[in-house]
Amino acid sequence: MSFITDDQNPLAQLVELKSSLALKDDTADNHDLLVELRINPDEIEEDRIGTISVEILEATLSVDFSGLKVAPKTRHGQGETGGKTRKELQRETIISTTSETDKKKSADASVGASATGPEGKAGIGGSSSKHYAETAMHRQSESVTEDFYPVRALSDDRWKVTMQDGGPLNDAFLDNDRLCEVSEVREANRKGAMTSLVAKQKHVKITLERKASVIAVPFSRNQQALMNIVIAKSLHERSGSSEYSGHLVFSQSTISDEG
Amino acid sequence: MKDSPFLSNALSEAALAGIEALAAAPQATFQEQAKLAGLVPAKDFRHADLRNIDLTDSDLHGFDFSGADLRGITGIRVRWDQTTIFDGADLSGSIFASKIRLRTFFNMDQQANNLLASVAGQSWSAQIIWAAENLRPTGKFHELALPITEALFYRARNDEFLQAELMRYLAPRISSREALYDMLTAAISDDPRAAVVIRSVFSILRQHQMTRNAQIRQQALALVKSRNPANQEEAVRFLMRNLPTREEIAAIRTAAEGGDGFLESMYVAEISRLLGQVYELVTRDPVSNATLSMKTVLSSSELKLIARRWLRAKSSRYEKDVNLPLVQRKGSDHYYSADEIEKKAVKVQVLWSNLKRVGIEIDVATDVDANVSIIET
Repeated sequence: MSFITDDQNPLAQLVELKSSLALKDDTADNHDLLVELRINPDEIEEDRIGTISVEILEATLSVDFSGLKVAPKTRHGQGETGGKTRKELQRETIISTTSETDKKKSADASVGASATGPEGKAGIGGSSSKHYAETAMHRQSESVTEDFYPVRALSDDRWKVTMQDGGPLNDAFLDNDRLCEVSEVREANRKGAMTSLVAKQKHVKITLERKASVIAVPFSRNQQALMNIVIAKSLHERSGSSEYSGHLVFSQSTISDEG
Repeated sequence: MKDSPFLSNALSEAALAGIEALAAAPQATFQEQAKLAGLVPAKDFRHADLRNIDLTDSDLHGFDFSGADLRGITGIRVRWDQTTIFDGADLSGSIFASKIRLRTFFNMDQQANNLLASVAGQSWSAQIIWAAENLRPTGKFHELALPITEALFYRARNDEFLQAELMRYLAPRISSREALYDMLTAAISDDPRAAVVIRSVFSILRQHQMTRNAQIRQQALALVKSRNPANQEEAVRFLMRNLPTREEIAAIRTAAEGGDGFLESMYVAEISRLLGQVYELVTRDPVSNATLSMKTVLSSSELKLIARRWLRAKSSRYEKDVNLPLVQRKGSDHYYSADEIEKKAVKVQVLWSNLKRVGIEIDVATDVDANVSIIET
């Protein structure tokens, strides 16, 4: 069976998404879903209002399969099942003992004579102190090492795309890499996969460098927040997908069988 | 071949028109601005980043904020109900946090809900007694007393005395700083008719050393737009007497310029207080002792009266005056020459000139009676 691909990247300067199905050598029914995904911040020059900077902080790669299902243990960005993590434990034990003995003794005596008669004064004094200290310290630190996947597998045929430093997405995340392996569902009439790159509005950072001739005063926080939604909604509408409801579809790549 | 490697003019005509409409309405409420921007309340606010916005005077019926980031939202007189959707929204530090937390609690606990209905139906005095008894560790309903008293507090919106009393019992028993903060934020947001509640809120904030909390200050700033002058007064005092930022002073100034005379005088009084007692003296009417408004033109006679008042207050020998600020002193009845008064008047004008930088413009009219001697008065 052969497949045709339709890639829709209306904002290709921000997000580029391509997909294809490649037949596995060893079996006639299994394919690799290969994906190209590049995301980077960019600017949109708007003649009327100014320059808009767009940065995506977090996105979801979502795949809708028809007549295909994901083969077990083939998802990209999925660690070993069972939650295996590496723990490093550092232990430090300090035991210190201090013993101090300080003895002080004093004695004095004096004898004097005066016109009124002899005067005598004698005294003897002594003191001693003993100091004993013991310290025991136990320090323990633990570090857990976890692998970071910029494209991490989630449930429901989704992958979360993030940067390790939490900053704006700016990388070639997949370059014709296998997202997963799929097998054909025999009874299905149509076979295909639609891959979408989606981001919630709150994960898209928008900054407007305004044209002072049109927007004379800097926007308040309210105006800025509303402007961001307006821009997000408009960018979403370029993808031609469903009506805007808080998330933007940046790109879509559809694979369908020719027959 | 590519037309251009760069992205340009990607926004729709409707979006551009929406942004231009937004730019033209900086003073409109959030709800009005959203409408101008062409946004649909039932859909467009899902998953939105709305952190730290001000919702003052907005009607949020039918808004869907599912999954939105609403942290730190402030505002007064915000209208919302069951049709306002907050599913999965982050409400931390917002005016909604406390009430939504309670709503969720009572939706899940029928026993608590029944008990609340029963207590809320009682007289105000019975409610106070119930709260006092059950907030104690030995109270019969101690485990439910905190959420029920908090719910009673919000329900008593039209009974400020009951609210203030319930707050008095509640505040010391809320162990989490965040929960206390959320309750106080919500209380300010209700913009009560009597200032007693707001006064209690600011007092609790001071007791808990929460006066520097940015969100609380933002909420106090929203209260400056209250329709209740007593609440305005409390808010302006709270902000100006707890290390105001330049932005806060500017915001209060803008509100004062666009408000009535009361807020103007409050602004002048608090700015003068910040600058010191000499400024307090030169911004008072020399006869009535009332604080002058932001734009005042005085006669040269009044200028001289202020100058003489300053001289007299400074040289006062009354025992009771010693520890009083200049404006409260009775002042000496010493005679000052025209020359001494003229010299002091020049100093008064220097202080007035300094006040221009903070938007307070007190000037002297070039009147025909300029030569009237103050000494004769």
